[in-house]
Amino acid sequence: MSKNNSMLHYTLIRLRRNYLAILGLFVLLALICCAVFAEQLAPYDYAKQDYMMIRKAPSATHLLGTDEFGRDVLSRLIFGAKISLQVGLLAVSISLVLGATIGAIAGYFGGKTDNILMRLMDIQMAIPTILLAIVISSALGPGLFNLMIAVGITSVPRFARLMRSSVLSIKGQEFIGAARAMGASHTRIILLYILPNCAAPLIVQSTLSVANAILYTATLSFLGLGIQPPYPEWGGMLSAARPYIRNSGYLSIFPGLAIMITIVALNCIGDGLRDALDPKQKR
Amino acid sequence: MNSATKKDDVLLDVRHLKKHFHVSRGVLHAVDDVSFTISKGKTLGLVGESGCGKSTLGRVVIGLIEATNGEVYFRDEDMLKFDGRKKSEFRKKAQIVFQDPFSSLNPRMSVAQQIAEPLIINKIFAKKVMELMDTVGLASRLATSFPHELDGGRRQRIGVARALALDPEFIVLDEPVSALDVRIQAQVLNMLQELKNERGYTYLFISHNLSVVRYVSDEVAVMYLGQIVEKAGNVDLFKEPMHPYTQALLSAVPIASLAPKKERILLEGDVPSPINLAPGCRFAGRCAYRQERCLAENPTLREISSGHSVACHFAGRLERHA
Repeated sequence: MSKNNSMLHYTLIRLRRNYLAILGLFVLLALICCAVFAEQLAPYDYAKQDYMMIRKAPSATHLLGTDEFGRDVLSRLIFGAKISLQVGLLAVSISLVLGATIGAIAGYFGGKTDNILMRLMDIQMAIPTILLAIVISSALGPGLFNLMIAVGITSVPRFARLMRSSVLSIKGQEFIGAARAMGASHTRIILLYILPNCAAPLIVQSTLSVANAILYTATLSFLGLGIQPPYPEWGGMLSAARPYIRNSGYLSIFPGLAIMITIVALNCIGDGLRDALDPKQKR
Repeated sequence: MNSATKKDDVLLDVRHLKKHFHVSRGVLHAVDDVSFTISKGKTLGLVGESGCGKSTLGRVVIGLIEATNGEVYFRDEDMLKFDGRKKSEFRKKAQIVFQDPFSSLNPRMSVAQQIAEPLIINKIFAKKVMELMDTVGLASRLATSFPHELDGGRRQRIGVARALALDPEFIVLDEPVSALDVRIQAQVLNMLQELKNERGYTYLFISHNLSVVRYVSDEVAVMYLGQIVEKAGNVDLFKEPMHPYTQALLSAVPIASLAPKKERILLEGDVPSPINLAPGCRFAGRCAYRQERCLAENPTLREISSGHSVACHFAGRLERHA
């Protein structure tokens, strides 16, 4: 439909003005390329050990040095992008979809529905996040997909609460009443009137949650519930490098940098997207 | 059904309508036993202070809020009993224009989308958005603009176009001009009047602005604390107000004139809370004419002269006691 085109069109125009967001987009694109073409890009196999080259500083043969088993850090980082991006994006999608749906229903219908749903969310929030993730992933067993579910479910309440509060503030506005007077269905009101008007905080929360998801993944991997060695994962690499931080600092710096760059890029995109989605911004 | 209210040209017949809200401190009587009729093609002006229940009344009448009790006859059918398909039929015939043109439009939709919404929802494809924009005097170049880019008058025109899209017979205008500046108020009012004359719409015009109501209404009802205290033809009411509250309201309207100042009736006290009301006349506490009977018994609306009803025990023979 033409109306969707025009909305998308203006959003893209506004996004293009935001250089930081464009930069973030390029970084994310590069990371995705790394993840997709890891086999072709990586100079070495991520699991190949070389006991002659243990914890060697960056050099011409190993650009980012080698770890405690003589494995190439650069190759491991490139392969690690796969896991981190998958977990980050998919886990957040799970929590976004579940959380936003629960929050929208609770906020829109109010009353008993609201009370029941939000008390359930409160119960979940009362359980420490990491503990909950551990419980879920140990119940489901280790593995990439189960890890995503575990990490995703832990941040559902945060999305639900955010969504609910935005819905409550928008529900009171007269255009919702106007939509009802026109005879719009509940689904239509939620999808076309409420959701677009509370997208901004959700988008920002999502980008921040990707960072969290990557960190939780790292934690769970560290505890042996996530990605199993020798498969590389940034958080796992970071925790494995901990004993050598004095002598071989680069071992923790590079995975740390990788995580940081990803998160900063996602935040830039999120910020840009939030501004671009707001029609009040100048074109 | 009595013959007085069952005339052919009556479009909306509201009988003993009540809307009570249960709040933490008790029961809030937003609309309490209100009855009135609006004839086809006429405008009933509904005046009252903020919080007297006039907006609630407007919303109940078009089915946006459920009524607690009473009957709302649209044509010959009680609209409060509608459900399913009948309700959506009724939705098409009764529309509303909201007070605040800033919060009544979806900020994420362009002008054309806003106006197309009622058509899409009700699966009407024959009508053109551009025609509607033309009807309300919106230039077609504004079709892709967003509400925040327009001034209040234009936004309100979108609201009107949206209400007209479904070809309603009856439109509730809930303070349609009070958020606009005076010059634009006149434009929008004139547009509404022209549309009414051309197409025979019936309006319930809600406002706190007496001059505006006087300008647009055929009949005027004055509301105080959830009840109608006086109802009369436009000319009658402004010439000869009978209820002490109406008199006070009218004396407060500023008039540009060189004649010596009229004496203003200043009301003492504040509007009492509509929660857990005391028996007796609701206006008694602030009335300069109150007598013992007023504190004991709440007067009902009764016809004093032809077409002029007042809810006051002493209407027409008020004596000041205070």
